[in-house]
Amino acid sequence: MMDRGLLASLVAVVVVVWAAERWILQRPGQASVLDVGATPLIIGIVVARLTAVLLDDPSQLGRPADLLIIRGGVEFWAGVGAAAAMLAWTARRASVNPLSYGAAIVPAALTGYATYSIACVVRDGCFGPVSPVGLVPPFGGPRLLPVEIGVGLLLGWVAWALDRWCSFPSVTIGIALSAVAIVRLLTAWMLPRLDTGFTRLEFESIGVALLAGLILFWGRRVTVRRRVIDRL
Amino acid sequence: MPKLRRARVRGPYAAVAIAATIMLSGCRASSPPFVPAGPPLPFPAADAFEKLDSSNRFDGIVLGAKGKPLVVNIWASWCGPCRAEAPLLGRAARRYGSTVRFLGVDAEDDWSSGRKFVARYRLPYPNLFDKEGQVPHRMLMRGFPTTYVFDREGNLIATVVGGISERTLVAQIETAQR
Repeated sequence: MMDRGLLASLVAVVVVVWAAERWILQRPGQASVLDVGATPLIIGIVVARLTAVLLDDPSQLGRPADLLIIRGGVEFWAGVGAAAAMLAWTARRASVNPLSYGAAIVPAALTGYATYSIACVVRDGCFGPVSPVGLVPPFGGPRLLPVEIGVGLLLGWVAWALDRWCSFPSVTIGIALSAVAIVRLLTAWMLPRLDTGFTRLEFESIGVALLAGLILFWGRRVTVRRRVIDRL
Repeated sequence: MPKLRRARVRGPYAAVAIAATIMLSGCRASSPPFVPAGPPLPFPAADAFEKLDSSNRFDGIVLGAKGKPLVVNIWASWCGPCRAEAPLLGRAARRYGSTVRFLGVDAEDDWSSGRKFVARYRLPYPNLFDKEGQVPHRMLMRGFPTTYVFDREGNLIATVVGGISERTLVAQIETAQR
């Protein structure tokens, strides 16, 4: 069975990220995120899926085929953490500052996430609150505000802005993490859902947003301290 | 900015990713419209796991369910994506159970495995046991699992082949309830 929508989304991500790195993002002389990010991405997906299985239905561990069903659910932030750890390890091996290494690919990674979000039009559909301005779902009904398209456009702009104006690695990573965390938190409330209270996803996003704030605060303190030292 | 080490091999990663996506995903094809025929029949009890004698009974149950939206999920215990989506359907049935009917069809399976599946996932809605796969044949189903959503008038408004996501299911149910 082939999920054409998911396949089309992934192809769109690869094409857009490649095009963005080539013509828009300012990273001359750098290796493509499609090269350096491939292994962390795979590691991230595997860890995200395993974490979801461990939390929701550990009995699936006895069925390797069920572990491969990504549509069965993934833990997003666990995957991001695993991918980041893999990148940091790669950076250490290359004798490069892991924060700088990570910050260098943040704009392209955010572009990929934004593209995947916008590609909801070719997957299950773009949902949101009922709105006079919006898209009619594939199964008909009233127009729905395409929240994920808005999220994609916003994160695409954040990626471009970080690439253009932000040169501090910790600030770049902190802003990217908090942007994604806040966006995921808001979309969790705006998109169709079964649960009415706070979910695990939302608690995780809140935690990541706080962590990103700490990274920003720590980065700011390090920057100020260096400036003070430089002046002395 | 630091230089990033270029990976030596790029093509195989893309090939593996694409192949994995193809193999591990569900279909998203639509099926021709289904128009049930025959006399309407009573909806089974919530904890029912009954043998389906003929597809005519399935048509009758669908017709008898008019007045409320109906979600029909065709599954099998040997189907991985069916196991992945079963908890979601159970949660949806518990949330919308008073306003939406849910019906499962265990097709091309064996009786004991089907019963264990229903017990394991504590499905709170009736399931029909269709050993010969009459319902998939009647619905021109293209793959397991498949979820059909009918509106209050009994019109088929949505077909999802492969595992259904929470957003899609909730959006379809809420559309069917309008």
